[in-house]
Amino acid sequence: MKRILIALILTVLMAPAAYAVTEAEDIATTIKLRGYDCGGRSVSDISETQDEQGNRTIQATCPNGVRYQITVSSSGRMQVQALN
Amino acid sequence: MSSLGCAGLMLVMPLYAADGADGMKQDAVAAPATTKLPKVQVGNTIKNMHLVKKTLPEQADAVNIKVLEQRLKKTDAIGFFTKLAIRNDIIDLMDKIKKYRKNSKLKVKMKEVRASFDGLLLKIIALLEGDASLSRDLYVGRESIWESLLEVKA
Repeated sequence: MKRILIALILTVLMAPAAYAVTEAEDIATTIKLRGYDCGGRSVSDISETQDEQGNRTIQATCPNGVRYQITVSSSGRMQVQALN
Repeated sequence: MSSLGCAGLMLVMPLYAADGADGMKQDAVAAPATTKLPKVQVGNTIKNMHLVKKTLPEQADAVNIKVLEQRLKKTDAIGFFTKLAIRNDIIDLMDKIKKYRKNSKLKVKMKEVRASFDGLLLKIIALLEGDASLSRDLYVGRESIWESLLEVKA
């Protein structure tokens, strides 16, 4: 009885949580959501800068070789553009 | 194990007991012969049941949308930038609705706005492949979400 209870509790505790995406996958999804081709599920060579006004600029390279720039304004507005 | 099984049965059984075939048999046998409910009482009960049916789902929906919003914000199945992109799309859709309402064109453009909403919702549901329960709940609550979106004033 005890063993079964322990097994039940362990099963509940070890149940997989929602799959968490990585930053590389997140950026690739964002690029694709804006209608650009990426050629894969994740990006590489991620670089991020932030200016004094709080605007963020993220650059990353997709598996198809295209480098993209994501600009996030301080108000939360987002723009994606291809760099090459 | 048997005590757990009993606990499970205890939780489930009352649900069946209330709506089950036994309950129906008791009513069918007892009602015509022995007890006659006054018309007023039956009428009131029916009216009350009608009220309960009308009010409860609305309250539940109102709660659900807030809960869904929080769950969408907290889920790990989609990342920060994706959430931001979705947020942008929702704001754009709301701006579109406000604009059409302002120009009194909302009724004419309703199909177009609804198509945009459906597309956006499908996009979100597809992105939530790592959080199936939230994905399902968003799909189930799509009409409530749509109605709440239309309620936003300009």
